[in-house]
Amino acid sequence: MIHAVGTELRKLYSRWATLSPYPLIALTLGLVAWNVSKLGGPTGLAPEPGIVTVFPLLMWWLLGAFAIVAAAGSLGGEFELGTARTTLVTPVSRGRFLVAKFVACVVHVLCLVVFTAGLSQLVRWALFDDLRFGLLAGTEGAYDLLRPEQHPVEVLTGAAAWGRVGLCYGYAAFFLVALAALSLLVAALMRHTVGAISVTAAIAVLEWVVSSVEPLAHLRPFMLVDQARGWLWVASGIVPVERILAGLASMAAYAVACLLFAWVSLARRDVHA
Amino acid sequence: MIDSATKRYGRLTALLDFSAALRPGEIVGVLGPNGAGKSTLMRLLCGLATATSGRITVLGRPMPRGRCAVLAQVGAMIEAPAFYEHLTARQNLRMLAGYYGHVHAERPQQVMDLVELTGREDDRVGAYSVGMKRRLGLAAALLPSPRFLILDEPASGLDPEALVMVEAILRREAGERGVCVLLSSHLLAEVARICDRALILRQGSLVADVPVAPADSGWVAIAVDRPDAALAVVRSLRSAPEAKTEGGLLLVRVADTDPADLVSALVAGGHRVSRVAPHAPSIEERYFELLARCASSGGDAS
Repeated sequence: MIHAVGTELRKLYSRWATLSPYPLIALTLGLVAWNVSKLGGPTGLAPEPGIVTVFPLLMWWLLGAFAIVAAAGSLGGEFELGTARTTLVTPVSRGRFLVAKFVACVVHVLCLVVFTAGLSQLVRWALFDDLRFGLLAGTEGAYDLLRPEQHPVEVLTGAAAWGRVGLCYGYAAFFLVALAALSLLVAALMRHTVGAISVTAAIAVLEWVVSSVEPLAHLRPFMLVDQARGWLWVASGIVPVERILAGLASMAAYAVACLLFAWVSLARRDVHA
Repeated sequence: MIDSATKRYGRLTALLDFSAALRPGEIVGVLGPNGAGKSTLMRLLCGLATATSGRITVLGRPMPRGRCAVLAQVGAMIEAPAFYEHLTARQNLRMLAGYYGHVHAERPQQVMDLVELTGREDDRVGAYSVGMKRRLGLAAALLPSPRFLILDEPASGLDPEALVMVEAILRREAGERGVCVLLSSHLLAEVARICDRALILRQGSLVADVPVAPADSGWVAIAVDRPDAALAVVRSLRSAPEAKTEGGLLLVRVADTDPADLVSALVAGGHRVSRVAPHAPSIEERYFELLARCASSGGDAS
């Protein structure tokens, strides 16, 4: 399994599509930092509309999109190029093949989250000379900037605050991993990269729409995209533990179910030219 | 061992009630027109596809249930070899070698030397020609030192030198290591040169399982002057043997006729006989004859 995961990571990181998120994240954060710097710091920003509020919002979706693209490409690309055929005539089982791809995607997602977290903290430090909780890296950053009176920027002073930062990014990583599992399932069914990206993105948007409709609120616990709200709770300091745990459980169930169905699809369907 | 295997893709029957047994050390060619079911047969044997019905046993294990154990001892190249084009040949083979577990670290270099890719191992596969990719495909198939080699069109796109090299490798694998080789090909001459046996498929059915070596067909070829006139002489004989002219030769089925009587009759009829030899149709002749017979009988294999 170690070889299989190593091989998948090597394949993943030899593609430009896997490496391109890093400069894009850096560019996004750089743009945010440039705007913050130009407008004079967080307190003077809110509720200014414009690029500062748009980019942190995009950041959340950007990471999700990167996770979807990486997962869809890692499996769908194998079938499109025919390399799945070359690999699957070796003694690697379909299950091991899939799990290795999933683990490689998890590693990739964690790298993206760590990179984003590290860089956003660096930017924060460079701009304001202290480490604040705003992060500038996600939806909660936008909330900070839009409504600082509701989500006051905290100075990271204690272990609890750092723990919350960790929980915040851990929750985000969990969400991205579940999204990658969903993308792997769609790629296993469609066996086509662009198709898998499009369908996964469409599912995410559809879930977002459904979870926004108040009469359908009872469906929210089953909506993967809706679990992203848990990040906001953590970031805003409310931390309703039971809701966060329910969100984590929902995302884990999504990941397990998606992998299971993807495995069934891989195991039962023939590999064509 | 394939026992009554049928493979259907929706309403299309790719392989119908196919049965065959392969033995260690033999090279078996799979022949047939496009869409005859050759690639489907190979995909079934290496577990890329599952038979709709029937039983497939490879190296004593059922397929696809015993896939992993079987594929540890099988080398396969199915259709056009596909590799990661942005990686080098060496990197590609190392990745594949890792999946086998038992493959020695030096084996990728050994197989690349074997298929004469020495010096090009560190080039990106994307820069390879079609023939070089075929050779790399063969190298990948040889990677686990297999007991069973499944090669789909291994000669396609190869230059004559590479063709000779591939034939030598296959003969050596079969002869020295007792590897069973199953290869599909459209090149009948290639099959005639290296295969011991040919499985001829048409529309998913096995129409013949024949030895490739020329067999005693019961016909003699007589080199005679004026073959058409000689044909009339033979047909006027009391035994009235089946006869025809082909390529300037008089061909006579000698089941109930002594060849010596034939020659005497021809000489008595004023013909000059310069040579009499058993007529053994080549695999090419038998292939086309079988397909023509199938076509005229509405696809009935027998």
